[in-house]
Amino acid sequence: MRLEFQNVSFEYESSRPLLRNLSFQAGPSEFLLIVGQNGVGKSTLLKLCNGILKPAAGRVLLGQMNTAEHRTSLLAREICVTFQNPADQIFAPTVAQEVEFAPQNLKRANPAGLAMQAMALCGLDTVATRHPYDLPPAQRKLLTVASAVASAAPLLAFDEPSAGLSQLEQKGLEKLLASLRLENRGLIVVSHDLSLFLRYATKLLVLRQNETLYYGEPQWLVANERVLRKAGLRLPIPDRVSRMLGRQGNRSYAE
Amino acid sequence: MAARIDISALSLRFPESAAPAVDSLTVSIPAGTCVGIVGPTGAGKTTLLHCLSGILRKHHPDIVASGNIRIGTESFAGIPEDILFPRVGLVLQDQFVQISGVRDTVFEEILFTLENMGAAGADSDRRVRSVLQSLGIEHLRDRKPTSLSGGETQRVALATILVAQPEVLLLDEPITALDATAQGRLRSILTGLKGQTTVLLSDSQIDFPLSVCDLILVLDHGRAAAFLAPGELPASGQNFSNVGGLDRWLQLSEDLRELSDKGSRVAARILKGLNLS
Repeated sequence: MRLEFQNVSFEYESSRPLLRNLSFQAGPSEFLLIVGQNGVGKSTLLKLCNGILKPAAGRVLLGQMNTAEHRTSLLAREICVTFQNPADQIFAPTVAQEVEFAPQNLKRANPAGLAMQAMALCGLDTVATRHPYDLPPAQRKLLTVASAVASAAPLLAFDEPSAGLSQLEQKGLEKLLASLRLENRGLIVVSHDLSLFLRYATKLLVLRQNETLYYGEPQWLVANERVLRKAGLRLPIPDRVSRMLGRQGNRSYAE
Repeated sequence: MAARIDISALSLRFPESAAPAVDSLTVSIPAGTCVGIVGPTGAGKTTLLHCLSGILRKHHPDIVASGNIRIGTESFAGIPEDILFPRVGLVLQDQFVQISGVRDTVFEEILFTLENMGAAGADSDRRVRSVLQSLGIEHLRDRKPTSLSGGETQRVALATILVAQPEVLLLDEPITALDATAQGRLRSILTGLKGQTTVLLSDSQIDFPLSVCDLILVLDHGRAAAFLAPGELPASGQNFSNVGGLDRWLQLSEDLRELSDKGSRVAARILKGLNLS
């Protein structure tokens, strides 16, 4: 199952075009990292992936399905998208019920098992009976990730999944990403956190106001400081220090 | 005018929990300094900030508190019982909650703060414009506050508190949704506030606090594991493996120091620039 944006444009108001002529692809075993300044339309792009929003021009294809012609409930079997604000999606009275909702709703086999597995992967198994709003915001964020994992959708799209996570939780998230890759699931991640995600990305999409600034191999962008700056991005400090010292490859501080 | 903050033997426990959220915390924060509060999830960062702002007691009337807090000339036995705004301004971790949603434009939303304070006057427009400019969000001034992206909302949330010019500014994870440019602007604002406003900002990662704060308070299970200037962290000999990114920074600092000792001027310059020398 591949996701393909073909010359997609979108706007909330005609006076304020947001995404213009956007093309990219994502598929199994791939990790697409989407970056760009605040307000360029990154979260909007994710809502176009699963048909919550439909393009004003161009096409979004999920396999053979044009998202404009299919119900979101059908598209949700193939791609699961999390929201930036967990409050926009959490509704169940316990963590376990929240995580089990997606596989149940999508009529997957053994929803309870899928939920248990996802909670364990996200380090939430110890809080399964708690009310989601009794959890700290960081764990609530992980809860949205766990719900997506449990959906068993082959493509997963996360909006700022590492925001507010502490060291321990970030390590957990990294392990989770590795395990999802082993399952050949395709990942699309919107984040400002280059230090965490850049090393995992197989493709990078850099958005700027109304344009695609870059789409391609992450390594190329890392070597092009000028484009990075244009996108309002900065490499993680250890990477910049390594570069200033001219010792790239000698020691990676980002690990 | 900035206020000094003295926290003495402060302990806080939520009734439903056996372990304290803040445990025998004693720290003195000089007036006008910028303090970074770091530590793992559950360390007590948010609880401490909420406590200092006065909203903790409002949200948790049954919290068990002991110790003393002094903010400027005002002393509190236990914790403040009332919200201390506008003397103390708190920017919440969840930026979407900070927006009132009762005003139609970003400009009016920020102006709403001054109206609430009873401080709206002839210079209100200028104050709002100035804060919009310093955060780089003039282009959002006529947008509907509830239609903004996460990062835009976080900046507007900041603006609604900055416009009040509090003596103490409390920022709970203020950069989670900010891009690099917006982080740079916030860094400039905080640098400009030094000496005038006492700032406490929490973050689960060390990078931003290290780049702007005069002091770093490391919290672990509600206790102060360290309260040091950034440059003192490498020599403290403590294990900070549970603080986001700090161990990596200390390794970097050690390597740079070694190179600097061997005569590398670039390494010495970087050390200084990174606030680690």
